[in-house]
Formats: sequence, structure tokens, C-alpha cells
Amino acid sequence: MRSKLFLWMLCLCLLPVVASAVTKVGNGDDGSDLEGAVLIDSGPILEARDKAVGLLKRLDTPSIRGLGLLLPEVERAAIYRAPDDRRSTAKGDSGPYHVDMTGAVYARTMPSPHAPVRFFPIAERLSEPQLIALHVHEGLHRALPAPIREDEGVVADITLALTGPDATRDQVSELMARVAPDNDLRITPPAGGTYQSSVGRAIFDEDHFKQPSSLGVSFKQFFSPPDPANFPIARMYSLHSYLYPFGGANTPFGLGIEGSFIEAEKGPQIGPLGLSARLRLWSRRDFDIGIWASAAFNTLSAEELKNSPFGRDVFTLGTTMRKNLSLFFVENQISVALPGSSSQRIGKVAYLYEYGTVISAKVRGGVKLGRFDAGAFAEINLADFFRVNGGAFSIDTGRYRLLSVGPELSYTHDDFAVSLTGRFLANATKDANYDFLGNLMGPGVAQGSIGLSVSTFF
Amino acid sequence: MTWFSSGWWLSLLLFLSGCALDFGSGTATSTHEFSFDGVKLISRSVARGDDTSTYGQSTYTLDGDRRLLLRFESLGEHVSNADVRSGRAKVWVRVSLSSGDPKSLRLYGLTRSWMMLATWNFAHPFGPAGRWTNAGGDLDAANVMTPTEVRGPHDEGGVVQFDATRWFIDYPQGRSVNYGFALISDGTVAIEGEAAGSLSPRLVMDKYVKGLSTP
Repeated sequence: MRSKLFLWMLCLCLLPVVASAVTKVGNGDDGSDLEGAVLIDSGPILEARDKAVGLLKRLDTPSIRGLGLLLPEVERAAIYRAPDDRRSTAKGDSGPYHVDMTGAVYARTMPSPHAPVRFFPIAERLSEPQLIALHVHEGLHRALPAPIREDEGVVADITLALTGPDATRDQVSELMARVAPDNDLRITPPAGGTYQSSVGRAIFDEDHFKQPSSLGVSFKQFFSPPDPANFPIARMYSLHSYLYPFGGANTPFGLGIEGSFIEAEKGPQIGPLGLSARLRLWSRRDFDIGIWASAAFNTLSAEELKNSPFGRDVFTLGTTMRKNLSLFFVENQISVALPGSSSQRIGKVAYLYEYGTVISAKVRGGVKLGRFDAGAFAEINLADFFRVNGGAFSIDTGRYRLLSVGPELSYTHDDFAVSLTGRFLANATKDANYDFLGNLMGPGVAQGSIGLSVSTFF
Repeated sequence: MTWFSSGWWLSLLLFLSGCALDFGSGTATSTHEFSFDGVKLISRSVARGDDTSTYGQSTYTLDGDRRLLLRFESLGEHVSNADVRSGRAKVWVRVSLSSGDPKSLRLYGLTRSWMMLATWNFAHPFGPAGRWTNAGGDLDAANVMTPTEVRGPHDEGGVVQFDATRWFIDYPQGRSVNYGFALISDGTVAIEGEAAGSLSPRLVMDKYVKGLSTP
């Protein structure tokens, strides 16, 4: 009796295995064309795939209900080239996207996420718009919710909505609401998941900060102003160590230490000591976000520097938002340096330097040329005031601005990077220069600088 | 006889203490001397404002290429205590020479503010706005002060005094500004600096009246 029961249970367990032995591939073939397929790593099919990705990003498909997985499916699926053309009469191959008039198949995939795509030689005769539509169509077969991903009619409609010449996000969204309504329980995502945020999850699932920590040295040569400066500093060397031991894979959190050494006209001195708390996170929209709070302590500096306009503690809060695209990158940075003061005694007169709040907005952009990033930045520093009071002497600039521009060039090789930057004072009100900010570790001093930085990541 | 004796002794006592009773106003007056705390040498040959040889010295040598800027930094707190407009009080600038001809000295009021980082070309180092209009200091040329009293041999230095009453009325009292002075010499003279103790450059206010209301 017990052995019979065991046999019944065994049969029940094997039933799905036996049933799946006949693979239902993509649109209904037997999968024999998988033999001899070659991975495609260049050519018009891949170029069309990049354009399809661009199209989906423009339409913001990750934010459309039911299309959350489409972008990563199209972007990351392995693409193979089948050795020979195939003709099919399978029902699944019906529709204009899979076969031509003679029944020759253009491409096939399997209706499940992460499945590869096979393109047949005949597909190479297609025009670029047709190839783009084909990529999107095959991606839809893998990315749509299970109950509708094999419905060729629905997939064709969505393909048309996405790849039509006047395609808009609203149109696609409206169509999706029709074919995959909110109240359609068949497409209810598994517990704990949501098709809406599937791209977000896919992005979060990937570790975007494999080596967030860094150790490096940097050098800055400051441009002397044409007029005499209060406390001229020629060069600054710094050693930084940013370690991210806390947080998740895509939300590393850590602490940074930066020690500096300056060469002033009065000789070499220890510069400010920087301490910072840093958080990086990857946004759902594929942005690298950085949030930090830093303090540059001059109380630990040399006596000469303490008795100077730069002998202040600078507390800064800031955030960066960076988007890396295939060919270029863009980054915004916003920071606020809190007010501070320093004092300097010359002879019998003590002067108090007061620095107002400084809001800085910086835009960086550039092109990616292999391992090189070549770009430029523009930054505006908007300061509340710079005041000097001592004895009968007093000046107050009121609000002033500094506009900086400069080139940036960097070379990155795995866990090693070298960057070269320049900062030039393009425009300023109130005859201001960087000395007015009193922030050595920020924008620096004098009229600008050129800098070299070498870092290693781990 | 008794009242004469006591009044005479009282007057002598007040005289010796440097004070006198102003019976007209009924308030106590005295002569106050203030050491210039802002003493700065500017020289054509010194470009850096924080050059330590340009301040804190016991002696400064002046000539055609070197001038001395002087300012009593907290003068603003004392301006209302000098009854100069009534003509009863005077303000003097007193410097001591260790060598040179005191008659070669001239004292000018300055027409713009400066700080201890001043140089021959700049009143302060904060951008182009700090540049003197005229190198060597922006002088009020219409109000040049020459020595009014010289004590000691002329060729061996001594104490030199300038009457700065007009300057005091025009600037600290009239405009509520204190730009200080520039001491200039055509010939070479050596001036005792602010580190010279009792010989340091001074601003002297006679008939200094505490609590005097502004005229």
C-alpha cells in the first residue's frame, strides 16, 4: 500500500517535468535552431538594439505599468545569430514581426525573462526601424506579465504603440491600461513583487558600487592673482581615504578622511584636515547619487595658517547626481557651505574675517571615449558676504558670486584612475576671488587652479 | 590767606596730575595720550603686506620711498570727548625721532581706509578695490600738517608735534571716519615705532572731557 502511494506521488512530481520536456519556444518552434547559433557582438542588429534601448528610455517605459522589465530585457538579452533561415507554419509565428511573406522567421525568443534571442540571417535584410521594432517585439514576449506575453495580437499592438513614428508615453500607457488593467487579477505580480517597479528592482539587484572605497593623492597648483594676496598659497597636496564599510550593495555608507599639506610663501605647512560622512545610492532611474557632509578643520593646522584668513572651520553639505549614458555623462552637484569666521592679528590690530553662507551649483558633463572621460564643468558660488573688521578698518562685500569653468580629463582602468582638472575664474562680482570663500578644500584659493589626482578603488 | 593757600595747593595738585577743572562747564578735563596701535610702514620695495619688518618695530626709517601710516584704531570711542569745536581743545600727533631733520616731516590725513596689510600700492589685499588711487597712499593734500613744535636738537631727533585739530574736526567728528595719517619725509629720518615704549607715536587730546555731549 505504501509502495503504491509512493509511486503515485512520484508520478505526480514527474508530471510537470515530463510535460515540459517538449519546449515551447518563443512563438512555437521546437528549438532545434539553437544548434550552431553564434553570439552577435557587433553589426547592425546590435546597433539597432542600442537604438531600441534609447527609444524605450525616451518613452520612459520603466514607469509604465506592465512594461517594467522591457528595458532591461531589450538592453541585456544575449543575441545569437542562427546559422540558417527557417520557415515556420507554427501558429506562434504568425504576425508581421516574426516571419516574412514566405514564412521565413526573422527572430525567436522564449517567453520568459532573461531568455536569449535568435536572429535568423534573413533579419539582416531588414531596415533599421524594422530591426528596432523586432527587438522591442521580442523583448515584449519576455517582459510582459505572463498571461499576455504570448498573446501575439497584444504584443503586436504594444510594439506598434512603442515603435510608431508618433509614439508617446501617454499612448503606450493608455494601451497598457487597456490590455493589462489594474483589476486584471491574472497579471497580479507574485507576492512581494510588482511589475510596476520591476526595472527598479532589476537595477537595485545589480551591484552598481562594486568598489566604492578609494584611496588617493591629489595635487593642486593655484593661480596667483595679479594683485598681492593676503595669505598666498602656491600649492596644496592632499591624501584622501574614503571607506564605505556600511550600507547595502547599492547604498554604501562610509567615512572619509583627507589630510592636506600646503606650500605657502611663508613655507610649507600642514593644511586643513577634512572629515566627511558619505552616502552613495543608486536611484531607480539609473542615477548615481552622492550625499555627503564634510568638515575641514583648521584648528588642527599649523599656527601660521590658523592666524590667517583661511584659519576657519568649513562645514559643507552637498549632493551629486550623476547619469552615465553609453557615450556621455552628466552630473549635477549642489552644496552649501555654512558660515564661519577666522581671525588674524597683525601687529597690535586683530582682524576678524567673516564668511557668509555659500551655495554652490555645479554642472559637469563630458563624453566617454573608451577608458577616458573628457569633459568640462561650470560652477557658480553664491556667497552671502565676506566681511573684514579690525580696528577702524571694515569692509563688507554683501552678496557676491564667482563663476568658474574648467576642463576635466580622466582615465579609468579597473581599480585605478587618474584625473586632470582645471579651474578658472570666469566672472566675479565685487572683485571677489576664491580667497573670499576661505575654503581651501573646496574651490581653493586665488584665481583658480590646475589639479592632478590619482586614486585606487577597492 | 587760608583759602588762597588751599586753592593754590589744589591747583598745583591738579596741574601735577595732568588734570584741570574747567570751571566754565563744571566737568573734569585732562590731557589724554593714545598710542597709535595701527602703525604700518609702506615702502616701494616691500610688496607683501604681512612683511614683519613693516610693523611692530621700535624704529622706522622714512625717506622718499618709505612712509609711515598711523591710526589710533579705537578713536571712534573717544571722538565725543574732545571739545575741539569750541576752540578750547586741540588734537596733536606726536612722534619721536631718533635721527634726522624733523623739519623734513609732513603729516597728511588719509582719505581712504587701510589695514595693517597695506602696501605702497594697496590699502588692503582684497581685490583690485584695495589699490590706492595714488601709490603711496591717498593723501588729503589740501590739509598738510607740518611740525608745530620740536623739542630737542634738530639734527639729532627729538619730539615732533603736529596740530591735527583740523583733521579731527574734518574726519572723525565731521564724517565719523578714521582713516588715520601718513607721515612723510623728504629726507631720511628715523622714527620711534610702536614698540619703543614711551616714545611710540601718539595722538594727544588736551581738554579731554569724559561724558561730553557731541557739539
